[in-house]
Amino acid sequence: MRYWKRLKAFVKKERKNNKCFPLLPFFDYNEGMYYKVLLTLILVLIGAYVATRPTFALNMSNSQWILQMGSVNNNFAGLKSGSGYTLRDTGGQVAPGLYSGTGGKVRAGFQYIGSLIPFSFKISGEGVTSVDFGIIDPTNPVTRTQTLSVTNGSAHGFVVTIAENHALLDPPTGSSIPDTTCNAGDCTSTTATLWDSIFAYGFGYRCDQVGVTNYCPTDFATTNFYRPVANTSLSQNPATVMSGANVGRNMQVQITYKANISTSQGAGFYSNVLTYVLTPTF
Amino acid sequence: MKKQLTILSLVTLFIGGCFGAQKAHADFSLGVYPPITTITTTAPNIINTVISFSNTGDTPIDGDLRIVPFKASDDGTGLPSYMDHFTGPDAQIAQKISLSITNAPVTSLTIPPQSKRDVTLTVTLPENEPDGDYYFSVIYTSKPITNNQSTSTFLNASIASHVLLSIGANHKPQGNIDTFDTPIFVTGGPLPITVKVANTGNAFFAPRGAITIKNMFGQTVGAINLLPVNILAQSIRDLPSDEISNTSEESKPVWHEKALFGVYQVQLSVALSDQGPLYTQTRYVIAIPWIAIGTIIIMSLLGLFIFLRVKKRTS
Repeated sequence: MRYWKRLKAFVKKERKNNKCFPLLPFFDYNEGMYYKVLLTLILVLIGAYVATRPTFALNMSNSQWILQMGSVNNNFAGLKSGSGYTLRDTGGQVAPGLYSGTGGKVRAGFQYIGSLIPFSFKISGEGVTSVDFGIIDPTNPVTRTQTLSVTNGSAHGFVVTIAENHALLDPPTGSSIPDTTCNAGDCTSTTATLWDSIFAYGFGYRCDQVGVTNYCPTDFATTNFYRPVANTSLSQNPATVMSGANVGRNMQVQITYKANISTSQGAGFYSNVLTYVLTPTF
Repeated sequence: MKKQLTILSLVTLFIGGCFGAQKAHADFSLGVYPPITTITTTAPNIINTVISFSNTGDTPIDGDLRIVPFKASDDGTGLPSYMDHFTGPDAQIAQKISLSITNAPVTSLTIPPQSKRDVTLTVTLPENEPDGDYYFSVIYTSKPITNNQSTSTFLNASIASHVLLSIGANHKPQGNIDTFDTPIFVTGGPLPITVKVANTGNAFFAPRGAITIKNMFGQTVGAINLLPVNILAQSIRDLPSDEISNTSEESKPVWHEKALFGVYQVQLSVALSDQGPLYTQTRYVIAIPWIAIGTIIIMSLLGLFIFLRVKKRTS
């Protein structure tokens, strides 16, 4: 109260001396206006503080609705018994963390990462899930690029592998565009080598860094180094195309697919299926 | 009035052009939460837990769900090595694990764009269930949309959520420090450290560890915290540090101090659980910056030589 009186006295004195009002020089020198503005500022600050307090609400949604509620309690835990056996239920969780019930504990997520961000994978770029090479002329390689993005907000480490069901195949004729062996015939599904000759034919891919951190395997460090895709019909294991060790959003690499054919390659529509697998560490 | 309407129209067109002319990107995006679930339980019990699969892309995703068992990979990095069937004391464990949506078994799932689907994982353990650990992934694989209209490669994606299931009342961890390596002689930092912990028991655990570094005066000059990663039964795993790695590789423990001189004591402490056991090992590192010392000696000798020559001439 005493401070408020002193403030009022100060304001009066300043106005008498016709000095620029220290806090609000652009306002008319109206004492009442000053107190109104000051009160408004205080209310705004209080409102901002309240608005930024965390709320503990559960959101559930689908394409038709969004449901918000305070919390959901699982009501199916408990002891049940029948003839010859006793069963205890433990279940349900609404957030990452440790849930304990009779006889069991369930922990969702890593104990050292308290994030709700899903572990997710995105493909964007040319064709997305259907990469069309168009008409391929002999000794005229065609390339297509895409961006792979991983958001790893809830796992400490991940790997993305790639594999194909078979080489590019034209089902009516049974002929195929073979997987590349690169210029020197020495690249494999796990080791990239130089492929820039127009007389080296086949289908392959390479990985390039996007951004500050390189998530591509080290054998792609040199430009124009390619690998053939691991072929599961030949019992080859999927190969790592991207890996990371930290939590993070939108970790990206660029994938370039390349196809080159010889003059003896028969005409047709060749296709195969590539499978990317995103796996977190445990 | 006419002038104001003209300006308003131009502004509206400009804003509409900025936001309306953006190219629509039909991305494919698939997510899962949580990426790992650990279940520690006794029998009998029925465990229910939810795994959410999300689609933040612009087109619906149609795919299959399956449960695939795994073991720890041999490289110690914490990645799974998938198997064809479960191994362990219960050969029928696969029949006791199921996936469902609203109590209906599910093997395939369609996720509309910008939405998620919750799948309930149920583990039903009867009273006579033997103790043991089982590790598996719930994998969702999208179905590719193919056509034979052109030469194309079609893409699909799989995403995995791991489940570590440990059955039994006695979960006391058994293990030891398998590897604790540092260089013996160094000329300077940073100092790389290798830590591997072995799980010799039949249940997984997540150890807690820390490394402290003391100089020859007994002062603590460095500390590194290790991540409490899961170590599966009968496996060995590298313990990474909790630092953010600047590369795509896991953060191996590194003491980043560059100017080192003298003898340093590097002590590792690992607790396999909150109730122990606790293991401690110590290594010693001798840091002699040969290059710096040699440079100082040479410069000193040179300076002394010049001083003596000048003194001789002046005298």
